Amino acid sequence: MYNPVLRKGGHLFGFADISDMSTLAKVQEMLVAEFDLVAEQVAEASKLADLGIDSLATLEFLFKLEEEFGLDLNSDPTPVETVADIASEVDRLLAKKAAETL
Amino acid sequence: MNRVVVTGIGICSPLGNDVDRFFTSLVEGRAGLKRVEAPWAGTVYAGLVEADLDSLFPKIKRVSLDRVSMLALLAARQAVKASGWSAEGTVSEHAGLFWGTGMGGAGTLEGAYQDLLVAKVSRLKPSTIVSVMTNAATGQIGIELGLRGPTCTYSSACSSSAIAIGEAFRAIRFGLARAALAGGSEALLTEGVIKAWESLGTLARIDAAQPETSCRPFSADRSGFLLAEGAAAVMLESLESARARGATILAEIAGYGNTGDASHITQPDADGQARAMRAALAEAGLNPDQVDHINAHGTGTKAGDMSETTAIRKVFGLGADSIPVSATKALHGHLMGATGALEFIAAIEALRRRIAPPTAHLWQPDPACDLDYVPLQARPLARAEVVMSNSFGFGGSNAVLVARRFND
Repeated sequence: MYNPVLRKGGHLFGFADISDMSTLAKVQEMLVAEFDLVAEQVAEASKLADLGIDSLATLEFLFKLEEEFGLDLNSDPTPVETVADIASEVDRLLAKKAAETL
Repeated sequence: MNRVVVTGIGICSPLGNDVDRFFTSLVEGRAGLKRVEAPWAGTVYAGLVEADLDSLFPKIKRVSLDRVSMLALLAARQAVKASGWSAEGTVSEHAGLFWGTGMGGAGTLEGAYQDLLVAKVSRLKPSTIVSVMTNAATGQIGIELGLRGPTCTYSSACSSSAIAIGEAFRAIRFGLARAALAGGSEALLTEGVIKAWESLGTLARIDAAQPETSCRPFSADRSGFLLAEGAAAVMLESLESARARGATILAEIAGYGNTGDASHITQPDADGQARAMRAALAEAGLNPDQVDHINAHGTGTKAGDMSETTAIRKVFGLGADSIPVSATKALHGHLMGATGALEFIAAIEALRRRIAPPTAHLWQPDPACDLDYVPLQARPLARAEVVMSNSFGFGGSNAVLVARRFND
């Protein structure tokens, strides 16, 4: 069927409940799915730029993370360079969110 | 002034994704128009490109590539590869990029509006702007192929890519660039765009028995055109540059005419069209009787075909009787911003292969359209030295390109 406008809705990833996985593992799995990478490419120290993920693609990915983890990355942006940076940023904001809701 | 030659061709079209398949389909009179399979499409027929873009472009690249840019890249890669030109070892600041498109990333824009206005999402994809902007394809081609010279994007409806080629020709002719990739791309087969065209009343009435033949240029029963998508590109170089590389020269661009009707936003004007043809011939230093074949704009609308017939008569007089005029949109559809480049390539191939493709589906000659339209059957050209390609856009933007066989 011809459909020039690719539609995506709701949850993009049919993963297990996120509470079952570490943030890093979850971020790695999402990177692999979102950009057609293989697991070996998304090691903790891998730089996003080396994977071909430019600033726009990074922004796009951060939006997905916001949806997945229920975060607002825009309110407190921190530069990310590596896969581990993303995971620690998500953990930092999750902790901040938890503290705020206490 | 430099002589300007064509050294590479690239095509991504409803009649195939290389120049051989495209031109063979034209000569054999095979239409590339199919039913649009979408719930909203009804009986809409259009020219669709068959290409597995998901496998041709990695997902990571597709983040910021609309369909219009992917089709553009496919045609641009082909043209550059065929020419043998490479940014490596050359001064890429001297290689320009001149691209045309009518609507840019129409699919992404429509998707964004649906997300925002229908699905009520709170924010849009960060790559929306850079996918939609009319120079998106231009930018992506430049990045991939390393073209760092004069870079321009033209949007003048149906004449966009003819103007792009004409302006690239001038840039090389006047020494502003040594080489240039020129052409255009269009990917506007979305619900909103098709519905808007339907409302304008210029699309062909679909023939229930033979729907793929519904576009019938210069025929008494013509009722308009069928929309299409695709991309077409030519690599142009100064003769000096082509010779220095030992490149194969496919044809020489001899002249370009660009005029404005300044009369009506949709109604064509024979005077403006005729002035564009005369201007192209004047720049080429050719007389009307030296033209051996014309690829007509020939959209198949009542007004357009009549106006072009009148314009050709004005320029060529009785001599027009001996010029085969082909309207190839009957077979590939109207590629809008990409159509001028695609049809210029059809004219170059007619020159090279010494055969005029037919005006297909012309079963009922219109007495008011009294030129030799090469009806139904391709015809060998007894003389094939000079060809002309006409492109006339809404807004009254006319572009005519003249090419000739390359001779030292």
